Amino acid sequence: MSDDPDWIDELYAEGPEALPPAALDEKIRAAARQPVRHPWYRSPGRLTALATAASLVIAVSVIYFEPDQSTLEAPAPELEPQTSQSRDREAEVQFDALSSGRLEEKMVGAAKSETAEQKSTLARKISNEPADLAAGAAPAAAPAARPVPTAPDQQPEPMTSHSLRAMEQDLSEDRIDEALTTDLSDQATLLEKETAAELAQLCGTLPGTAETREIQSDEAGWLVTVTVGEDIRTWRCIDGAWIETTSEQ
Amino acid sequence: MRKGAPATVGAPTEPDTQSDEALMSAYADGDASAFDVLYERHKGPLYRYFTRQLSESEANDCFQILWEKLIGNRDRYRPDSAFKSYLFTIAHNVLMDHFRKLGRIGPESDTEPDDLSHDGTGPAADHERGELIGKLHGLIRSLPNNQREAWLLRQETTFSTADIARVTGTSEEGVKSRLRYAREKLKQGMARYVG
Repeated sequence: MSDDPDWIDELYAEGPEALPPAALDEKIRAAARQPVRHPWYRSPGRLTALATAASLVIAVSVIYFEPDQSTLEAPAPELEPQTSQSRDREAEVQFDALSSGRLEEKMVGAAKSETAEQKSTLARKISNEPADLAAGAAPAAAPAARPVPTAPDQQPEPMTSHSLRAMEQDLSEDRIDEALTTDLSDQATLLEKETAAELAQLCGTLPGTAETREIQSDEAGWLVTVTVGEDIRTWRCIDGAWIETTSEQ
Repeated sequence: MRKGAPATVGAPTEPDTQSDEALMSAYADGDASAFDVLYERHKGPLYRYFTRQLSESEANDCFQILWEKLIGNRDRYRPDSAFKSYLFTIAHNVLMDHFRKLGRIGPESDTEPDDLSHDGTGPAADHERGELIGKLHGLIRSLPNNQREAWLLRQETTFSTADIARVTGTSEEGVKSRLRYAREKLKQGMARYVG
């Protein structure tokens, strides 16, 4: 027996079949029949309730935070698609307005009304200012008209008599008229420069110089008059070129 | 719950002929009778795995803990892993936990010779086979833990060296070494009884 290398294995296999006691068998079998007990978050009922609640929260959030549909659909004005046809039409209208002088009139009219509005606003300010200053409660009296540039915790500096006098001088009628006249002439100069630039784009370099020429418009279109001493010559922008019309005048 | 697993207990195929994996899947799906079949198949080897290494009461406790673990984790079992390896891996872990509690775990040499005169009975004149088996069981019990476990797994299951290595979390070479030393020690220990 000892010569057989597997005799130990055979001897072991011949041993009694050790088995668990019947009571232990029954205990284990009974445990196996118990239903599976999942933790609360894994039990099917709780899981369904949890999923439903989560879905509801998401749905409510989506509805509550959803941006206005019209805002989403309407493109920004600057992004609105513009067809080449509409661009051409717009350019034609602009050109017509430019050549007939309506645009210039419109721009001059707008500048004038703007200036008049500025003047009336300033006049109102002038009439209100002394009363406000005297009351010492200027910011509270007209909060909308005069925004206070200081930080909330920063107190405005107290006004001295010197600064009050300087302010009164700045607000005097003469100074305001002077400022408005300068402003108006500046605007007219600017307007003339813009008109000259637009005409140069349409018909090429304008005749004369900025000092010698005058740009006007009449029912026939744009008219450029160049005056050098007693010599007065006129040009019109026709079909993209300057045509001298001195003899026609 | 594994939907893909065959749950055909009660179908034309008899439960006894079904694979362990199919039975375990069926049990996880709620078929309690599948567990009974599995239990009948494996209770003997598992019980002996414990009783050859522990006292009877300890073995009973460990045996019960093992099955409770299997029952409690029934829905975690994946049919793609061999059920028997899975079962004995749990058994190994239960045994290691038990040894840890008793402070009986530690580095054990695979090469150090052990004194196998285990029970103090000495060489007896009785060469009855039953008694020899009893002596063998005594010698098995006196083996180092890792050698004893490897040898018992080899005897009680059809596990290959690779399977034993997987169950016990060691290398195949380590298992081979343990088996070799265990066999040598048992033969040496039994030699005094068989002459």
